[in-house]
Amino acid sequence: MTVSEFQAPRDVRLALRRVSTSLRVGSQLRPVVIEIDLEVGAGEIVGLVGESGSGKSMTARTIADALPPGAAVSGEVLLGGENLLAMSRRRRREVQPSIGMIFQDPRAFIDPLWRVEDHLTEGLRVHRGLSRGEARVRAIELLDTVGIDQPERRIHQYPGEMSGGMLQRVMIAGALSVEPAVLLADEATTALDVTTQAGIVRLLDRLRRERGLAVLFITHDLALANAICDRVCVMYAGRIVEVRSGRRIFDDPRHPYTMGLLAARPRVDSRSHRLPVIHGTPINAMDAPPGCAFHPRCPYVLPECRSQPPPLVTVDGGVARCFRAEEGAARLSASSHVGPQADVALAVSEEGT
Amino acid sequence: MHLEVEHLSKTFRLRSGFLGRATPLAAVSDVSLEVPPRGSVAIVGETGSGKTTVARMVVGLEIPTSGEILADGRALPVKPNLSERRERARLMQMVFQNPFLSLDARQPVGVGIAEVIRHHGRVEKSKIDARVSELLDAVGLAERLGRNRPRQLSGGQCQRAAIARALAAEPEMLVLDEPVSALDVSTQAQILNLLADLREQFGVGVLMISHDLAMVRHISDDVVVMHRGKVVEAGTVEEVLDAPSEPYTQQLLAASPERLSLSGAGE
Repeated sequence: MTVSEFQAPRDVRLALRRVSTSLRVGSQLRPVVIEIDLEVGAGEIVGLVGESGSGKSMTARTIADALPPGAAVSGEVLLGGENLLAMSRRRRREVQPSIGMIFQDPRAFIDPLWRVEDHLTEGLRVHRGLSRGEARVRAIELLDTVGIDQPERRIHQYPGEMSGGMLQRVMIAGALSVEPAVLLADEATTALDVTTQAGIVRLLDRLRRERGLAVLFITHDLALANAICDRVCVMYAGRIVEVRSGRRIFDDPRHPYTMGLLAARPRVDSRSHRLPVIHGTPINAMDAPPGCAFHPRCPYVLPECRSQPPPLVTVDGGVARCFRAEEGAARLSASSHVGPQADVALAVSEEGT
Repeated sequence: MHLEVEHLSKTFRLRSGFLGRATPLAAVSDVSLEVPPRGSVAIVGETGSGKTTVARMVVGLEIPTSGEILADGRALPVKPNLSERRERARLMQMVFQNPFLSLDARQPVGVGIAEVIRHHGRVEKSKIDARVSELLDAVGLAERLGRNRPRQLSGGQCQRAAIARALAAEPEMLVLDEPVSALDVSTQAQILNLLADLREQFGVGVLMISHDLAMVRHISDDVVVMHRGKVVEAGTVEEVLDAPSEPYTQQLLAASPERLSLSGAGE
C-alpha cells in the first residue's frame, strides 16, 4: 500500500509519486527528500508539517522547480496527469506558472521598487498576453478577491507602504493572477501576527471553496495545519512518516514523532507542570541512521527499528511509517517503561539541544 | 527584585524623507505593570503593540519619554552613566528571540559567558572557568560545547548558551523577548522546561514578551495585554485567558491556532 492509495480525491491536481530529491554537496549527492507520495485534489488543502531539516521546503522547491543547481530529482511530479520531471525545459517553463507559490517573507520576494500594479500585471501580460489596461482591471479584481480594501488606491502603492499581512495578500493575488491549478504556501503565515495569520488562513479556505484551488500548506505548526487542512502529512528526515485527517492526527496520532510533537506543545487552555519533550534535535535525511530515522529519539524503539526501515502501515483513516503504528499512544506508553511522560527527568540532564 | 513600571511612555519621532518634518509616534503610552520578586509576568501583543519597546526600556536599551521604572522601590536612572548601566545589567538581563543574531558569531560561546562574568567582577579570576562550566551545566549544555561558536550549535543549544550568558551576570530578573519562537517545536518544549527549572533553581523573576498565548499560559503567573501602545487588559493568566473581558484579548485567543475555527466566520 502506498500513501496515495487511501487518498482518493475527486480531481487530482498535483500528485507526487516516489519523489526523491538530492542536493549536490561538493562532489556528492546528499538526499533531502526520500520517496514522497502525496496528492492534492481540487478544493483540498493538504498540510505538510515538519521541523527544520524535515524536507518540507525542499519538497515545495522540487515541485516549484526552484532547487539549487546540481540537484537531482527522481520519481514523478504530476500536474494534471503530466509529469513535470519528464518534460522538456521549454514545456516546463510553459506549465510551471500554473503552480503558484507564496513564502514566509513576502518582502524577500517582491521588488521594493515595483508598485503593486507592476507586480500583479507582469504575469498577466507575459503569460496571458493582456494589454496594460486589461491587466490593471484584472489586478484590481484580484486585490478585491484577496480582501484588500480600496484596491484602486492600493494598486499604486509600494511594498514599503504595506503591512506584512497586506503584502502576503498581494502575493496571493499575484499567485492567483495566472489562475494556478495549485498553490504552494511555504510557511506563508509564520512571520505574521496571529490575527493576521487567521485572516490569511480564512482567505485560503475561501479560495479553495469558491475556486476549487488546490493548496499544499507547508508549516511547522501542527495545530495550525489541523485547523485548515483536510489531510496532514508529517515529515521527518526527508520522509513522510504519517498521513491522516487533521482531526485524527490530533486526537489519535500513530507515529511516535507525531505523538511527541503534539505532547511537546504548550496548550492555550490548560497548564501542565512540565512539557514532555522529544530528546535531541531534528535531523536531515542525509544524517539519518539506518532503520527508522527517528529511532534515536523514539521512546518506544524496538530492536528492528535500528536495522530495518519501518513499513507503511494502514491505520484508522491514514497511514503511519512505524512498526508499532497499530498500537496508538495509550498502549505504547502503557507498554513502555520510558514513555514520554516518564522520561521527563532525563530531559534537562541530557546534552542540550 | 521587585520591578515596578509606572506610567511609562515612549514617543519616537519619525522623519519622512530627507529634511522631512518629524511626526511623533506614540509607541508606548502610559504603561504600568509590576513583576513581584521571583514572579513571572508576560506582556502579550502583536506587531506594533509596543511590547518590545517596554522591555527595551526596562533593561535600559531605550530611554523612556516619561514614566518611571523602579527596582525594589528605587527609581532607576533615566539616562544611566556607566556604573549605573552596569548595576542595571547586574539586576536584569535580556534574552533575545534569535540567539544567532544576539551572540557574537566569532566568539566561542564559553568565552562570551566568561566575558560577562569578568565584566561584573564577582568571581575570582581563577574560578571563572569553573563558573562557566557550572553555567553551561545549568542550562543543559555539555562543557565541550562551550568551545563552539554559535554557528556550530543547533538553534536550541544556541539559545541555551544565550540564557547561560544572561545568567552569568547573576541577575535577579530575566527579560525574555520571544525566547522560543525562532526554535523548532520539539526544541521549544526543552527551553520552556529549562526556564521553569531556572526559575526554581535561581529564583530569578521573569518578564517575558510574547505573542504566543499557549506559551504564556505555560510559564507566566500574570499577563498584560498590549494593543497599540496601551495596556488593554491585565490580570492573572487564569483571569485573562479563561475569561477575557476585552474584545481584543478575545480576538487574540480566537486566532490562536488551537482555537482557530474556519466555519462561518469572515476574514
